[in-house]
Amino acid sequence: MQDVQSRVSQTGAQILLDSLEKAGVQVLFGYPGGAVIPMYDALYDNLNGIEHILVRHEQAAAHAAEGYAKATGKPGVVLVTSGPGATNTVTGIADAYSDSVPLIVISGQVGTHGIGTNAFQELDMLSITSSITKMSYQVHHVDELPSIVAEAYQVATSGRPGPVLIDLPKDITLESGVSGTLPSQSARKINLTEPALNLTKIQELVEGLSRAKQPVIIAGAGVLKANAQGLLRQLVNQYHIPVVSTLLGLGAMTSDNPFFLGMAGMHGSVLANTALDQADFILNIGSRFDDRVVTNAKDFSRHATIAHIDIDITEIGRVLETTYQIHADAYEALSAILKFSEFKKMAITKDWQSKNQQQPNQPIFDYPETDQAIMPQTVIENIGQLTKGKALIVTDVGQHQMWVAQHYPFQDNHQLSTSGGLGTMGYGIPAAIGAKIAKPDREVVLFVGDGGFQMTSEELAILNDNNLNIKIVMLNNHSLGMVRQWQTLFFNQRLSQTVFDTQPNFGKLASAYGINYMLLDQPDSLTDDLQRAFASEKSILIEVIIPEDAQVLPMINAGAPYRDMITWGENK
Amino acid sequence: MTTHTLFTRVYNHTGFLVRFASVLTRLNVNIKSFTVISNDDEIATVSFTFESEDNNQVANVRRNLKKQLDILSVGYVK
Repeated sequence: MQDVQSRVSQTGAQILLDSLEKAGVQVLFGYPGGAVIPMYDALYDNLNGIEHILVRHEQAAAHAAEGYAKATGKPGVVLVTSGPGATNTVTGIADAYSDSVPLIVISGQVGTHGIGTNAFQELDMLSITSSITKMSYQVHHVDELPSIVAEAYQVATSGRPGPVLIDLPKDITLESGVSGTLPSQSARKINLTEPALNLTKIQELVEGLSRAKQPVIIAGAGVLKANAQGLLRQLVNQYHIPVVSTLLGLGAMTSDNPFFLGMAGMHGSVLANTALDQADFILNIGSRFDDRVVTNAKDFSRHATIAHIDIDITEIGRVLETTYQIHADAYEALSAILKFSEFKKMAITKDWQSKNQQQPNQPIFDYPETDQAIMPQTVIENIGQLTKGKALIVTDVGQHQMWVAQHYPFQDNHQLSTSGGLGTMGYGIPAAIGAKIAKPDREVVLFVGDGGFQMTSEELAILNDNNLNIKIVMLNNHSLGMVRQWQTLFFNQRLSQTVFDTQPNFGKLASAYGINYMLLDQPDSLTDDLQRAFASEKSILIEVIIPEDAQVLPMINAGAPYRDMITWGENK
Repeated sequence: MTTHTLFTRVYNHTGFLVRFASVLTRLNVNIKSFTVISNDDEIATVSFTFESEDNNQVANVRRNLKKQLDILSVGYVK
């Protein structure tokens, strides 16, 4: 049925904003430029109540939109101009593709007649992003706009979420068209069929699980994206099945659940990795068995039968031979598993259960404590206590990211925003901005290294503009710590280009951007200092000096089996 | 070298070939032959052949093509 009242002639730019509003978009992260001036002109009137966050670099727009999406589960939306404006978003689009983050990037384009002429700021973004988007659209007529926006939103959020690009020629935004109606036909034919749950396969899986004596569950991002953490916890609590998490699955279990063994994989806990190594049944829910978890596919859980639940059928059986293959949304699959297992007696041994649970007064991850320096792990544990494990945590990429994964007491879904698959340094500051805009009432804490901080620190400029209070904890080891660690462990300590001989005065930098600053370098006053810093009423940069050679352990080298895990051992 | 033939059904719209080619390029597939037959119902059949001794490569091609939203099915012709 047509909405007659709203069938008035409008510019393409206004139609696009109307369409975004109809889809439920409340925030745009963007940066203007020649090809999108009509869009910004329409935003000037703000008829749709859509907030625009003016970043300082288009890469930050994409990461901020990712932070927004991860904090809400809704798509983050980006508006940038053509050419360099669009290419600057490529890292963010790729990051969203790697981590299955719903993102809609609207990139301006030169006028339709200029396409293919090497016009000023003209680039073929459809080709450039073809391998890192779920779908891309180029708008050819103003009347297509409502259907393309509606479909882009659906594509970004359905199935395995991901990024979508809309290439928007300038003349389309200036043309007159009709708004207010959603088309009866989709913009284009695509395959968006959701998988139908195969109950027979679920029943077989439950049979297999019930026979397992040493089962382990791997909780991946798919649990959180399906909002299935409650069902997972029910299953674990009911049958006392040990559960490990991937980096992006953190929050699926509360950190203090006795059967939660922590993160698994390259920097996973001894408890988690040993359980996986010895398991006779692995139930992987929503993780893709990536190479940071399965460091050596031939050796991984070599005694275990594998069951894999995934919304993306192409991930099932990709890495490991999989006996129970369930192509499904994690919520639906877990609901069915709980139903079928209701009357099943599980064969899990008491010995396995008692060996694979958290022990009182024994943290899952340990580290060498000292009163001579501030240890990064101590900082994170202190902040965990200070925030009662309830803050929205954002990280950049590197050692600090792994320390946070190991030591912050995550409690719930939408609590961690980090760049997992792509490992994008520079992600942190803009993603924290996006998270805070999404959840202004939540404490947002960003952990960042001194390397990643310097990649997108220009975004500090928008903290006060938008009245954002973010606690930025910069763990400064004057190094690119993770690469330095690899060089130390595997390249004969040849620290090639990983030590910063000079650094900016971060205090003056914070001051230049009008935010607070604190330098923490005294281990004995760390707790009090952090409390004072967290009382800041506006954004604060907390620079913490940590040992240059601090390491993330445990560690399994790429390609090595779990048995070759490097631990603190006697070095603790 | 073993010749492999894959047969796909795709929604035929502008730009799908870029995605198709992107998958093949990334996986180092050199196409020996490539045929597109478009039908009235906006669905085209695309079949192509390539040489490979690596079964993992062939499986990867099929898997990555299946990920594309405009590809309806991917079949292997023996």
